[in-house]
Amino acid sequence: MNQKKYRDISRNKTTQNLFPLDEALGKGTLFKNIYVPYKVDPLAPIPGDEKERLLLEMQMYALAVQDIGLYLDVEPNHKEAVEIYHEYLEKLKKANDEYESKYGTLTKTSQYVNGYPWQWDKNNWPWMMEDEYVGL
Amino acid sequence: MWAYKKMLWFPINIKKKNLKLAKAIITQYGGPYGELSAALRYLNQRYTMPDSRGKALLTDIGTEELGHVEMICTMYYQLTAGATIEELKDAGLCCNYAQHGGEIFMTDCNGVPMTTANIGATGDPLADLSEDMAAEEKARATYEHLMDMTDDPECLSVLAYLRTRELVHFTRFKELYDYYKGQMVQE
Ligand SMILES: [Fe+2]
Repeated sequence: MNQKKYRDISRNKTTQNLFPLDEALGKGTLFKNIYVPYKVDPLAPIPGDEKERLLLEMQMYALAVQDIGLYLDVEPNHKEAVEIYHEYLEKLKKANDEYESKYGTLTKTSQYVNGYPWQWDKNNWPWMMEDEYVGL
Repeated sequence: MWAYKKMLWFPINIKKKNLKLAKAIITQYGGPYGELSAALRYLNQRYTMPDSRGKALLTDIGTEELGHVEMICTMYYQLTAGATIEELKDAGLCCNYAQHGGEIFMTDCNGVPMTTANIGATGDPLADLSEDMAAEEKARATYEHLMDMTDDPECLSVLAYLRTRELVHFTRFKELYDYYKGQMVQE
């Protein structure tokens, strides 16, 4: 099998090929070779408080996992990309755990969904605005 | 099976009411180049993709687009929060109010309900992927038009994010298209 050359992702040249994760969230992609700004060139979103910081962290890793996942769908044999995928997936799980332990469950199968009274309907729905928040 | 996660792909905190912008943005919910139409297009086409790459890519992008549907609805919800009937009438949303009350309905910005009639589904991977590439470019262009119409940083950041996702999806569809095409030439 000839070794294919991959230029989109490389651990050695990470800074060259990929945006830092927080900036990637602002821009909407990790991949520098795809990104072309229009009207604005966003940097990393800035969190207001601890809850928002954790949410941003999850969103950051969720985008990284999604973005590299789509890349892997069309380049499934790129070993280094698979490794980076798993690295970010671990970080996503950790951030998710920390968020749910503090601010309530995000999925109905979360380990934090246990307990009485029923928690799933509590806390906030993602479209709601701050002044509508009902709290836990 | 799908699992719902109670979070958005990207933070949306729009504090400035803007009904005219909301009326325009709704097209990315139920319009021809909207997120719902994109989600349905890819999730529908995936069954006839010839290999696991195509099935995976269409499933994953289609699923991501469902999350974008929620983002568009969130933008509309926040942009119209607290609107009075007078304000709705001034922004040209009176028909929307008459038919749907405060509910967010899947229409284009002229109020025409979403249709699947413009979704190409040929069962031919090259034809379908060409359609998907075009769909992504049309969605990108729509986001740019929407960005032209606002200077609210809380809206621009979200629109810019969604626009970039179209660039990414286009690139991956094109890579898959080129891969399939290359395989055909080899055979
Ligand atoms: Fe897309």
